[in-house]
Amino acid sequence: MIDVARAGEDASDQALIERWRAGDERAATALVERHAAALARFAASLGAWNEVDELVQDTFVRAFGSLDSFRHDASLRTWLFTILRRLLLDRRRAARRDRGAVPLEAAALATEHGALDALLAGEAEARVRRAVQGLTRLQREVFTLRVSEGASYREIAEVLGTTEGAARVHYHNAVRAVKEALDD
Amino acid sequence: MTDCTNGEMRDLLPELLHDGLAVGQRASVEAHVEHCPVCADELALLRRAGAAMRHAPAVDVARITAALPRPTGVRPELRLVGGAPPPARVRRAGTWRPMAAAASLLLVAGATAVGVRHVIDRRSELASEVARAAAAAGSTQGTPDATPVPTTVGEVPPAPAAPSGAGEPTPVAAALPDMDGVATSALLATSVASMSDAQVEQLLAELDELDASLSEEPRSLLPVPSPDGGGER
Repeated sequence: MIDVARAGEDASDQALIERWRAGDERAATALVERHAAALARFAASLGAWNEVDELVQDTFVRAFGSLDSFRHDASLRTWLFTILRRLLLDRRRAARRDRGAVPLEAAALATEHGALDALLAGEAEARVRRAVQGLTRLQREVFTLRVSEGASYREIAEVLGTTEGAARVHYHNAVRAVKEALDD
Repeated sequence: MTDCTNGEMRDLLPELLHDGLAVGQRASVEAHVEHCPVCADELALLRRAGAAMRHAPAVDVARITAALPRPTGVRPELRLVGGAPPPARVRRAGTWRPMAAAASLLLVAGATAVGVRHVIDRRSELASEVARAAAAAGSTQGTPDATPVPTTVGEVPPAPAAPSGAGEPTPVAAALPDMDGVATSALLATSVASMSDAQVEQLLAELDELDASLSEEPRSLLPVPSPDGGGER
């Protein structure tokens, strides 16, 4: 059922891609509108709250510039997640070389907590959000893709470049860690 | 904190959250959650977490779209601002070919007519020059076999095929390049300048029947000294 539902979405994505290739720029707009919010959520979950807009744009630019290399055995959204994640990791590595000392997780959390606290109205939501932000990077990526985007283990494995089994383990560890954080 | 021992059901909770299950599978998971407080709590947690993570910075779709590369193979087109789109180019297969052929035919016919006129005029001039050269050679060197050559084209002796049927070809006639026998006799028999319009038209008509391309390089009409300074080639 999951695959059937995704297949319908993928077919639409594919049709839009073909229309864009034929010169229909409205198809590109439709694709951006369809996937931008999910990419923004994913970028925010990775601690890139202040650069979400730029990251999402760079992701689409890179994706549309290399659509010929897009393998249709994966969904377009999964591919976009993969591109965004690689872009972000590259930026993080470059920033780490420049700054040196600040650990990735601490920097991400320091940036994000303030923004999220201001954004989220409810304390309950803020607590959940903090619990998620307390996860390791891999756990947070898996948890976000699985819970927020409804990605399958196979899709998560593709995005992270790992196996479905590893994705499943990361997910269950993340759920356990969030529960423990909320119980404290 | 305990986890549900039914790993299969627990794994499907996110799919239940996102309404990604088939009808039968959904009923099974919902029945399990109804009787499993651990999974019910986890499903509630996932729902809260999903709602919390729905918040994300807004992105500017128009700006992103404007930054996208153009599709490969599609060239940007100039468009009139506020005006109607340019008419689509319709390729009408085959319409240009007859027109091009007609234009080429007209061009070839015109060039042929001009060329024939030029050849006729040039032949007349060459015949006069050859005659004058031969006469001058005969008078200065006393060449015994020099044949008197008329000084005007109108006095050129008739060719063997001429209607008058007079005599052998003269040196001038022999020196003239072969024109496949068409109108050569007429050229030698009479001056083109003296031809009537009708005769010129007939001559042109005959020449139009010929292949316009040269079959060989034109031969020299005048004696050419050999490189060693003696004799002729």
